[in-house]
Amino acid sequence: MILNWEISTNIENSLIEFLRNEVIAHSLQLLDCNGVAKTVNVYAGRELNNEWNLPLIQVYLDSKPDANRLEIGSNKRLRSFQVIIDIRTLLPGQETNLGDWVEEQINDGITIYDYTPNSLNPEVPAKSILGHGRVDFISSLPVLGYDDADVYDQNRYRITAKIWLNG
Amino acid sequence: MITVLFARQGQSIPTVIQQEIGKLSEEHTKILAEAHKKELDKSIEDTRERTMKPVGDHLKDQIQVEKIDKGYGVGNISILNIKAKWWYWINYGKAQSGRTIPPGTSENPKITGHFVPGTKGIFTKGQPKFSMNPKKAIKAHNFIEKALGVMISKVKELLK
Repeated sequence: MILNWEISTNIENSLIEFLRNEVIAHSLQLLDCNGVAKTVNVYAGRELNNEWNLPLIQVYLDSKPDANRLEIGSNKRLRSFQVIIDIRTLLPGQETNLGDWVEEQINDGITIYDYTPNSLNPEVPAKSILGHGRVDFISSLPVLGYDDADVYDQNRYRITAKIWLNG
Repeated sequence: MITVLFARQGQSIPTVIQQEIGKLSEEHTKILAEAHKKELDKSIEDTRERTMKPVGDHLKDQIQVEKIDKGYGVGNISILNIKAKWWYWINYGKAQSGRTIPPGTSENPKITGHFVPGTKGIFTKGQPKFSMNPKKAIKAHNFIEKALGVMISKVKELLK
């Protein structure tokens, strides 16, 4: 059996897809130091990729802190999936604004999809709705910057959020 | 109707209540701080990539519960910045200097040594001495966020 995406990857990808759609829906852009508008990119993955373009929102699942039984004797669980959203921008101050924007967008939760591979078009997997993921914010703060910091780290904001899903 | 009277000689009731609540709050922050320390230790261990070095300062040992002005705190940043400077690097994937890739022999000729054989072997200075030039950035381990995520759910349980 080839194991396809399970719940963790489904949640991670649902969040990424949601943010990408919101960026498009809002035509979200930020100015660079020359006053040129740059579209905000949404990337997946824990490791920073030097080919990524700023400004960006980096999303990845970090841990699964909760798996409590819904009731005694039941194997159904109330699970949480903790995601890290690292926001990196070109100019100082933008990271906080973009952080506020992200929080506003995901505040009401997101639709979680179950993805299945699509061999005809791997970039667009088939999907069906799995449920609604509720969001709790765990932390939200700028990551301290330093003078010599790498360009990706000069203006960085981190949001930690739990996504809850019954089942 | 049941009326409960309590008094402490020479003190008004609001003062006594304030003192009792103060003690209780302090006790609560201590319970939370101790539980938080355990969760931080666990998340550091869970995300460990290399074997713990046999000698020297360890990150876990530098994170302690400490009495502060109005309760208890966990992990004194001033101490961490001296004794376990790498806390920041491990958590956020970058050093406080701003770099993300550790320095190597090309940058500092004193950095030579070898990796202890076996899985998760640690880099050890001294004989045999080989040059080492890391190319990969340190990944963010997010041990602070991991512990916080668990603690937020545990608060109600701990303060029953």
